[in-house]
Amino acid sequence: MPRPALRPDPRPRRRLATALVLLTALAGALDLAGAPGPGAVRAVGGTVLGPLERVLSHGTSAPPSAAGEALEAATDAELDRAQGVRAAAYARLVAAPETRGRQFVAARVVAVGRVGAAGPERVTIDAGTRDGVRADTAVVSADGLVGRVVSVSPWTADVLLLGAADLTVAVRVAPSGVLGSVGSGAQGSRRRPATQLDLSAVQRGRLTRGAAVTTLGGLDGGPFPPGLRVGTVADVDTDPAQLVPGASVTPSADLAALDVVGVLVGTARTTPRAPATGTATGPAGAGAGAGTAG
Amino acid sequence: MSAPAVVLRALLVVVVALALATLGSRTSVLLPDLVLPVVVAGALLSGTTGGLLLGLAAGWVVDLVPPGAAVLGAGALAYAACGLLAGAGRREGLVPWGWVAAVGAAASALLAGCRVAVAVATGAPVSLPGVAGSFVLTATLCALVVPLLVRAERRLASGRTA
Repeated sequence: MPRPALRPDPRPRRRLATALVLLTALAGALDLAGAPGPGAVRAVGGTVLGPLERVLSHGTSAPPSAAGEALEAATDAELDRAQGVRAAAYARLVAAPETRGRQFVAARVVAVGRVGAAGPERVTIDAGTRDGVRADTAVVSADGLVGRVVSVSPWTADVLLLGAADLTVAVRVAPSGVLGSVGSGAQGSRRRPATQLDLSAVQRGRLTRGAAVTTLGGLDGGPFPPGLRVGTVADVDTDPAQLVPGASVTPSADLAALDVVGVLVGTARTTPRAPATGTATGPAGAGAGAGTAG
Repeated sequence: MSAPAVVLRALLVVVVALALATLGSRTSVLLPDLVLPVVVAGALLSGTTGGLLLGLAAGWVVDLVPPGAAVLGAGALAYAACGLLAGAGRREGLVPWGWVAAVGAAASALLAGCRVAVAVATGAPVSLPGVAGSFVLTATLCALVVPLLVRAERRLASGRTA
């Protein structure tokens, strides 16, 4: 039957469009506020679209260079052990100090988010809850800390990268061991270059250029275990008007060229720590001896 | 909008969004926005309301493709605004190529502006050369691909009615 020449009434569609725009704005506001609803929506997206990304990423993998071709030619056994990730990069990851004595799940970056206007802020890796990956666990590469898992679906997980606006890491700066925090370079009191992070230290005059920055370790098995390499101090702020002593930090992992990463899935401490006794002898401790044994 | 056109657009948007996310993990080369031409072509054919709805749907797909957007829905609103803008550029009859290119460029500029606004609002770093490069690439892609998409969809519609 031919359609009537009259145009349909546009009002219901306009109402629908307005309602959907409002719903979208509401979802964005909830996400900004940290409500749980948008997280569930993300998980649904990951469950439906994540496997497609895995297939696309592994099926159409064209080695970008001769080195890539050499990696592709690695033996099947090694590739199996690496859960399909490239063997040489996996070997580097196994040998990295970040994974020493810690359990980790190896994964490959299969997708990169585009929202950060300077480099990626979020990436998707091809390991999920079925592989033992949980939210709020640290992700490392062979060169150091990469970021934190923020949402997990059965077969993929989304990682918030170091330098993202929402990620701040408690750190210790060598050689003095001064404490501080590292966050997005765009957020501190001073704007950093796009590839660098912002370090705020707790004490002035303790930062030196080239100092190594490592994680401090979280409370109760928090996301970041102690001693993961975060970066090196690139430039110390000398502005005397600044309230917080700061420095820019070059991340040790190349966050723009991530491939094989490891998710640290180590378990939290379950046995209580035994109290210790000091062993110093001599006149210094006037009130000592009351509680010491032997 | 006919049912096959809707299905075709939905498929195209999902494939293109997945391709963009996967390509992004493979290369560090600046990539154009592949989803915007689909939105602009659809909006040029269906007008403001249709463009808005198409942009909103496409933006949701882009936001949900892992690893997802930093703020869920921000991409959807940005693409919806682009769809609205491109839909306002709808003209009856035969449209010159220059007009299509201009609408594509305007939508690309709006998308780039929305990206920068979201980045500034969330405290993410903004690299203006990157944004400018992405805008140029996206506008060029729109100018090249949108006429082809419009022609393909017109042919699909006429083939159906004939």
